[in-house]
Amino acid sequence: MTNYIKQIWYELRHQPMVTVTSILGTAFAIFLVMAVFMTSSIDTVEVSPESNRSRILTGKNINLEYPQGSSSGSMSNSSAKKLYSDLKGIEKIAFSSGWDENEDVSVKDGDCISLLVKNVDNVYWEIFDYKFLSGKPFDKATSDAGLKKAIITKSVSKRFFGDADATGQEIKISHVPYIVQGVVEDTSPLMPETFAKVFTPYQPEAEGDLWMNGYGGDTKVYLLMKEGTEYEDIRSQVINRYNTLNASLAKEDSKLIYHQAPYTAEAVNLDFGSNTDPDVETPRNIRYAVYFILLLLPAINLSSMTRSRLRRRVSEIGVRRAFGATKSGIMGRFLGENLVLTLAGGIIGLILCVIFLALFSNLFISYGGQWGSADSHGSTPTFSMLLNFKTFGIALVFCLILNLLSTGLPAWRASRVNPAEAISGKND
Amino acid sequence: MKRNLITQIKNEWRDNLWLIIELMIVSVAVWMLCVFLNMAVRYKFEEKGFDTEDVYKIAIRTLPETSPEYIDNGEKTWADNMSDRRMLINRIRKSPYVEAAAFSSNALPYQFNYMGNELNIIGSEDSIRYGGNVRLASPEIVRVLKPVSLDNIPAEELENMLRSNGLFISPELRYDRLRNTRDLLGKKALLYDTVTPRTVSALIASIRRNEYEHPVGTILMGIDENHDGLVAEAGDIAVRVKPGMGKKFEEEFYSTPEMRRMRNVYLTQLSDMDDVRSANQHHSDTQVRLVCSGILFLIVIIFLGLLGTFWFRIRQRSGEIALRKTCGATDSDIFKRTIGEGTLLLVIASVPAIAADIFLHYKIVSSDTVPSEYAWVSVIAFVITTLLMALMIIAGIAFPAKKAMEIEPAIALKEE
Repeated sequence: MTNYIKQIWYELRHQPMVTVTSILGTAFAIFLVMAVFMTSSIDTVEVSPESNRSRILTGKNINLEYPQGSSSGSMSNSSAKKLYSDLKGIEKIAFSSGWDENEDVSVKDGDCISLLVKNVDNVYWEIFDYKFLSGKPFDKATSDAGLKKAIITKSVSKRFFGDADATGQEIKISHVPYIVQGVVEDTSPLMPETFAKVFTPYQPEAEGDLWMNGYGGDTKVYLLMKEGTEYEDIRSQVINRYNTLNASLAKEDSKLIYHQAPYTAEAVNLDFGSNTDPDVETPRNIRYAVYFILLLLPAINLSSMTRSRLRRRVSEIGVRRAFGATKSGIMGRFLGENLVLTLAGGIIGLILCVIFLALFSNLFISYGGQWGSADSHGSTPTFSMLLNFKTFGIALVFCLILNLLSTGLPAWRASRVNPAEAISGKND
Repeated sequence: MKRNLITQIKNEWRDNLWLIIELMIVSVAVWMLCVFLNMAVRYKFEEKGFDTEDVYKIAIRTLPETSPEYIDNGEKTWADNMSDRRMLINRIRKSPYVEAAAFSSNALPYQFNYMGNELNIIGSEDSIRYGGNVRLASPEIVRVLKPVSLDNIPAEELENMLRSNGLFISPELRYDRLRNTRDLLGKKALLYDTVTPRTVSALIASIRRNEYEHPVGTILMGIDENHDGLVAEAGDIAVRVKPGMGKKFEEEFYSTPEMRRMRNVYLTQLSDMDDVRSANQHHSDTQVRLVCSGILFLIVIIFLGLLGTFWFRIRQRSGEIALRKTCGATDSDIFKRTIGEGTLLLVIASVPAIAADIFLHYKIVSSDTVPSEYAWVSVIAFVITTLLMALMIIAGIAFPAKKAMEIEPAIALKEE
């Protein structure tokens, strides 16, 4: 083994130009392919407060078709209950406002700041694991009664109260006084379902705020699936609910149009309206095509370097073969040797990628999509969103693929040289 | 010479096959990206129909009834609120830094709202309705947003037209290609309500929602500030400040409470339209940057691939090149031959690439990405792609080719 490592080290030092170029080429390829992977994973990565993201589904929007036309938008509380309450396989259901808006927030008669306010019920805090720095989540009584209580983030607390504990203090939201019930860590705007600066108790819409014959309102639901529940099982139940509602709506010549709800984390962050379906397949296929191009093209370039390296070692291969080395042994040896280069390049590429994404990626990536908020557009992912075991695993898989693509064929050809011709120099 | 070149390419078919595959994939990918880029920026440099430099947007809000500060004046509350809106806009107009201010309901660009409505032309025989994005604003919007008259009507006249129940339309409003929107000028139309006839007074350039969007039918209708119902429609106040006075106005706005609040009505979220623009166009801007980076990456890959392959190839072939030189080949012949080899590889790779381009062209031309009237974009993209690839081939091979020219026949043959 020591000899093996010594020889790899010798080979790498013997052709420094080829070694450096191979490492840099690999680093560049891994940098790009991981950038695509990591930015697309941001919508599904499981970090606080969305640690259960793979089990959370979002139910939102409603689209009613009637003889004169159609309307679509946020659903009402009663629509949400009809469509999503008591589904089999759902552990918890939380209600929140369907459309969050910036509101003026101030303390006493101080300056107003425009902050994103989200209305949520007590179950919301059980599904999403916000980190409470002080105080506690809304309880059922607070939520049901719609008490004027608020939970604010650390940055808001610091802005208004400095280092003092904000819990128990009064703030004004749209000029209505609220008592701060808790302070939570700030969340990333790149997780739009949980991003807000102020949280107040959710209340079903008043009669006057309903529209679309009572189907439209301002409500969204979050469903926490039980462990082991399949998404398709939930979806088919929701489709049945739509069918039941449509059976009664048929009398009025109306119909609810189904748009694939409830949505997984991958789907909910896509750009789609209340009258359209999210298209998960197209971005996924584009991603696969990009992976293919980003791995194959550098691999072709790297393979020409591998070939040149192996050409110099034809006589060595001949000697090894003459002394009994098998073809697969020779091939494995070269694949192993090259893997050292690939892994070195891979580590450099991954480090560069994480630094780049955490600092500059919003120049190239539209976080939040076309309709994303200015907050999401101005944000970059945090390190915890980028680095996790899955990231390392995927980077390793990409390195192995790249290694196989760039070295597999040259190593296979090298392993098949005729020992006699190789030693005599005829096989160059 | 050409036959020799083809034979040589055949002899090194393994290396060349990979190069050809690489050239082909890059050619198709660059072509696709060029098509997307072309489609994304095709309207970017056209008339956008407004000017938002030195323009600010302020949101109008009303206190919720649950606020202890809410003033309940019974049935009169709503009318009081409208009167307070007028009071606040007039206070803004009095600022020494402000040039003009207008109530706006969907009048400002850089937002994704589409307030679709139909213009019902009074007395039209076939009762055709002309749908478009309706933008409502005080007549002063002419000075704030500077909509572009297609007949060069002076701003003052445009403002007067809006004051006297006029409305402006853009050519994209036309019902079909046979009808000219210009024919609607001077006709009476119903829009906001069914009782007030309004005159179609001027043709303006479409006020687009952002610079990347294709022009859509626009209807700009005036808000009569004495009409409570219309004032209630306004969600924002659009303000044009005097050139370079933005910061001063911001300071004044935040330090003067009476400028921001009048009983139940308050103004908030003062935003520079430059910031609103950046947020609104972020998605398109980043997509353009990403596509450009993709093209750059692909052509750099091709450059490096050719550079690497030909670098090793020339080194391997130094004996053969020396022999050619001793047989009378000049440096220029060696250079041309090396470049010719790369160009021939591009030509070979272009055959399947063109076939793939044609296939993809028919796949995407019928889609939303490239509407059929923009089919020519595919041809332009192909020309750009081929030029870029040829340039990279010359750049990638030039250095190794120069090395080949510098080979000393005597030394190279001795080593051989």
